[in-house]
Amino acid sequence: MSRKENKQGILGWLKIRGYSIEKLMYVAQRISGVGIIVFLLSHILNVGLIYATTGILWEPPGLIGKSVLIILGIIVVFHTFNGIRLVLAEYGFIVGKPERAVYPYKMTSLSGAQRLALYLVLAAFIVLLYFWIMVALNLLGW
Amino acid sequence: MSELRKVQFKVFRFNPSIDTSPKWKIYEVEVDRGSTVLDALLKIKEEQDPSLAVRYSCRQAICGSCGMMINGKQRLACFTRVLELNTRVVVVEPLNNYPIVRDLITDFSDLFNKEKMVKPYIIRDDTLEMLNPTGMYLQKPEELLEYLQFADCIECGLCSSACPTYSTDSLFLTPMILNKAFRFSADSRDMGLHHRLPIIDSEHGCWRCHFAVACSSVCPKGIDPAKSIQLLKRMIASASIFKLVKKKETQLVSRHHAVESVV
Ligand code: SF4
Ligand code: SF4
Ligand code: FES
Repeated sequence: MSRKENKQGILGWLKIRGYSIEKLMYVAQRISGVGIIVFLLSHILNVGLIYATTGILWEPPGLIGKSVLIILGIIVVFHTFNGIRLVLAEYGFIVGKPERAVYPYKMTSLSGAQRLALYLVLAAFIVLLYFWIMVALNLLGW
Repeated sequence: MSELRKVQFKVFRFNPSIDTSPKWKIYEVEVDRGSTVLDALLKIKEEQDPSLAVRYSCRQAICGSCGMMINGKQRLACFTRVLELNTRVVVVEPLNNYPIVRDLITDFSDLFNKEKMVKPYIIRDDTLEMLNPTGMYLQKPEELLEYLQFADCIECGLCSSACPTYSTDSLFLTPMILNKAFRFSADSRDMGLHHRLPIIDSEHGCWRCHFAVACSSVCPKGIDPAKSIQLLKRMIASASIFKLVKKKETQLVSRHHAVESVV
């Protein structure tokens, strides 16, 4: 893209300075989504290749396998919780009603029910993360 | 008279018709408590460098022409006080994601072309009344509230510049335009949603918005485009999936009657 066109490209997705926490959640949702897809594709390819070459369909994961699964679990939990908030927001349930714009302006899509849902997502994520880490440590035998 | 302070301005300079790449120029300006970034830029232009290109008109956050990146964020230069930024150096650049005309001036043609596509006016079925008006349509205060907030938009383009979808998808309608589409579709006098659907319900329409809310975090007029876009999605989903369209019945009052009731 030429300098005259001035398009930000992917950098525009990642820019968070100056914006609200919702933009940070957008970035996290994108990255976790890409992570899940990459895992899914590589997992299918990996299992397929092993099955095609050795005929083995499943064997217990080793240390690396377990670690990948643990990280995947954390990512999936975040992506799901935040996804529920996004579905609620995107169908207009938690963004507030139209109201007069009175100075100093308050945006209801950045406050009220939506912001509360965002904090709930983070809180639920942290609680689940704690349990997940416990399970993970168990799985790794620590 | 409030105390004067010297502040450095790092300004983006680029004339695409002659320069191959942009340059940064540093200027030092004396500002007081009330000076805006626009005041400072005009002072630079008057006293130090007349070649600096800036666009402005009203100087009071109404015309929407002085939008630029100030310290990395989309803001109106006339609505941003220099000292409130609280930085030693103020970095000024043209708005992201629009073509640069020169220095701090960007080209909004793309936005204005898209605006025409969403038919930003009241559309009605009673063509005869539209062509030869005999009266006026009544609107209740609660009906006015459905769109009033979104009608305050000054078309400064800050929201669309901040939108991450627009930074990679040039065809995306962008928050400024989707807000406009909702403003008219939510109007109790309008019957035009189905005329706008082919554009707003398309691949580059409202479903491309992923609720990053960058648009609302930079809007200087309290419009909250992220809200109007989500309400627009809800309106479209109710209309196309559940076949739920709010029946609009507007009462037409004859001009004669309206004048009499005012007198
Ligand atoms: S809420 Fe939608 S329109 Fe607004 S910045 Fe985010 S993606 Fe763009
Ligand atoms: S919605 Fe706000 S930021 Fe966007 S063009 Fe209108 S006034 Fe500017
Ligand atoms: S000069 Fe009109 S909005 Fe800034």
